[in-house]
Amino acid sequence: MGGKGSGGHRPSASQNQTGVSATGGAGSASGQPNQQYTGMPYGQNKQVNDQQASAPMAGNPVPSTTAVPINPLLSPTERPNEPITHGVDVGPGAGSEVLPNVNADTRLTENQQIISKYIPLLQQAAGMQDTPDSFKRFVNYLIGQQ
Amino acid sequence: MNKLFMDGSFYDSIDKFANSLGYENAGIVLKLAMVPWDSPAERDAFIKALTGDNPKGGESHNFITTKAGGK
Repeated sequence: MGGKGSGGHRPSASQNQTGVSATGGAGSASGQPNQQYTGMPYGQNKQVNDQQASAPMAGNPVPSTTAVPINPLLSPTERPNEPITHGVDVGPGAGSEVLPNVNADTRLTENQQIISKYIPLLQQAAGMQDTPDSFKRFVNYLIGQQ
Repeated sequence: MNKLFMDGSFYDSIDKFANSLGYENAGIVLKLAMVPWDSPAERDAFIKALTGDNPKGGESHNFITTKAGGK
């Protein structure tokens, strides 16, 4: 048994020949482990290692983002010729009709498509014996929408 | 009873969804009626979860019949 300070296997960074970083990185500045392969037939070790160096890994690409600058709240207007009430129904400038109609109710259009497609079937079902009144009311509503 | 309106049928589902969600939502009513519900109970549970109320429409007192003594 070895006594105090007898040594033993104490790997240090300089002894780490695996080429792999202990911190999880790629192990080299180029982002690729600098493996030195040996054991190839005579003359081929250099060829393999040169091949490795000529095809570097992509590393860790970081997507670039283009930030759109945002003006401060109290910065001068970029539309000096436009009244501040433009797009509002009061005051100078155009009213709300110039605003994009993002909240348009699409149900009416959808209903029209459904009605034109299915109304013959629904009418047929509504005209049958023992059809619930509630169904007939719905079909009558659709007919009234045409 | 009209076989078209058997519980869980396509027309029964139209009836239930239309009267539960509102006639003005005809588009979604038709689409929901086309969903292959596992059972009428599953469909009705969906309506209840959506509206917070029991399904409307299609109750027996709404049925029209010409049979003598029928409702």
